[in-house]
Amino acid sequence: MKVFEAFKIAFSSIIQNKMRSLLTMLGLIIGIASVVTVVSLGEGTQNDMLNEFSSLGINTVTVYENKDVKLPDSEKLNLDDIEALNEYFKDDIESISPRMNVAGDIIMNIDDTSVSLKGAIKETLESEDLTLISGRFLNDFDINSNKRNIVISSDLSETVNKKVGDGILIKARKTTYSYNIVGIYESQSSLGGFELESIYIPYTTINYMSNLGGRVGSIQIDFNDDIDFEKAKSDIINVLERTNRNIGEDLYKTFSADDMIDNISNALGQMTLFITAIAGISLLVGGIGIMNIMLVSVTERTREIGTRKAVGAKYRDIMLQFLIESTVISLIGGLLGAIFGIIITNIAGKMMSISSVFSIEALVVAFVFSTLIGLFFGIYPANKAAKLNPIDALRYE
Amino acid sequence: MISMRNIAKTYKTGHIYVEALKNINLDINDGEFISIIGHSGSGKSTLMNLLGGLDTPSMGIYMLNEVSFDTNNENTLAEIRNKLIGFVFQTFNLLPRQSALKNVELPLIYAGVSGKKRKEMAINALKIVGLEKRANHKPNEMSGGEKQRVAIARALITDPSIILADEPTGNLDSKTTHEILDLLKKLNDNGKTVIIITHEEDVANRTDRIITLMDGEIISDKKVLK
Repeated sequence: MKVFEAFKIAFSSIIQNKMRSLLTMLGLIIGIASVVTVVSLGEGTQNDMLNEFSSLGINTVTVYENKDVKLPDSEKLNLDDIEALNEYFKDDIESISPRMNVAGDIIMNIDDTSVSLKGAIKETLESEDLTLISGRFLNDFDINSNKRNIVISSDLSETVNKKVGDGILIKARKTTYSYNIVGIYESQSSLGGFELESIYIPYTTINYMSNLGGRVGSIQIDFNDDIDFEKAKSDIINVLERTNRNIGEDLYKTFSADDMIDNISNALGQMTLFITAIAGISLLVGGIGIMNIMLVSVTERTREIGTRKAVGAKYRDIMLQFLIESTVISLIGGLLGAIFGIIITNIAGKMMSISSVFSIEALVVAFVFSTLIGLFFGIYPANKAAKLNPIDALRYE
Repeated sequence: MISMRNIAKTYKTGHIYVEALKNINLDINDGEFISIIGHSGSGKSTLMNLLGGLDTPSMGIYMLNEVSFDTNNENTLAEIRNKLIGFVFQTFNLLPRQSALKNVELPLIYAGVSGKKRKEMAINALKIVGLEKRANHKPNEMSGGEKQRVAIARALITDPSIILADEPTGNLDSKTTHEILDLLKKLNDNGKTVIIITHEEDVANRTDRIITLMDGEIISDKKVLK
């Protein structure tokens, strides 16, 4: 018998038992649909994050101190380190700036407003992607002479009702000073919702005010596009360890957007794996369902099998007929599942505003898996059918 | 040409051995019209299973068209059933959801005949049994006599030398019984060996030779005088 004939027999049997076949497929439809949905949404989320981070500056490295080790003050990151890094990388960097944030409160008549004071240099305007709407940004003079000049956001300017040229009282590190507003930048719609308003202040001023002695919180370096990023990161550590004479002590760390992306990808990957494993259980259950229904079908069609054998069907013919039937059921279930998965992905993607990725891999996996499930769970019933003794099968009531 | 020598068949049910057939010696020539008669339990069904290659003897030699049947190979037996023997059953054994035409085609699927040729041959076979107009009807739309004629068409389609009919009229009324027996006689006239297994004397008397079985042995083998 040709395989093609076995397919025809299998299809006609599935069509004759539409409802039963559909219910049998249900387990696989649900399993495959959830795998496709989870994988597609996972990939979509990942892509969205990648896009978001690359817009935030994928070439930016933040250097910070190892929090697990207590560093002596002399080896903490400071302005000399910035100088050394600047010297080493020279043309490879677009900007290098210290990062230090100090929490502060704007002192007003009724309420205090909490703000975050951010140490800035004149390049901070670009590296933070700020748009000035009035006044100017901090300049070299402000920085070199520890001026108490600040740049505030448009939202904050409205909240406190101050404009360029006005003075403002801010309490930070237990001391209250008056600061001059020299510029106002356009407020950005923040990602996370709740964030303190940022006020930019010369980093030297923070240093002086907080008595940091040149120490900085962390260092932010914006590299050019064409740099070997991983090498640059290890070079940073090398330079710092040489400058501070603590080679190999692992006191400094780097962090960049791609580390973040790796972290998120890992977390997402694990979640996807977890949900896929659960979906895998539903595939297993679906497979057992197929085996069950095929066993019922074999029993039901015992006489048919007997007749087929009497007129010349061999072991292989009967085996093939039932194996193809279970595989076709499974495969149709898998493909329906994939279609539902794509539909659900699109709807859920729109609802959760995740750009859904049409995952070819998921489709291939669905296809391969459902075929394998059909084959695997079909073997036992098909073998049972093919091994039937024709005499008993013909007499079966 | 069938030749059986010292055939025995023993079944084991639980711990008990049942001797269904013993010491069977039988020759059937090509073109004979023959009946095997016996009460239930006489071993006639077992004999039919052996003759039809559905089962193999425990002992003895069975030659069919000069080929010894001493194989236990399922595939060889399936091929013999497909090519050399046409079965007709008491309960018709048609596939219930398939049309008459598809039912008749069935043995050809396993003989590897292509779809178009199959249809042609099946229509021809249905013509022989006079049912070509019912080709697209399903078994549940047909009378018992029609079903049995479809089954006979199916038995004929691979052009076997032997038609083996197991109680072919057991489920039919007397008028239809005659029609079916006439049809089998017609096939015999056209050169087929027809073997009918039955418990009805009337049916047996329509054939040319009656073999009587009792308790697993042949107790008589005689020509019918007409």
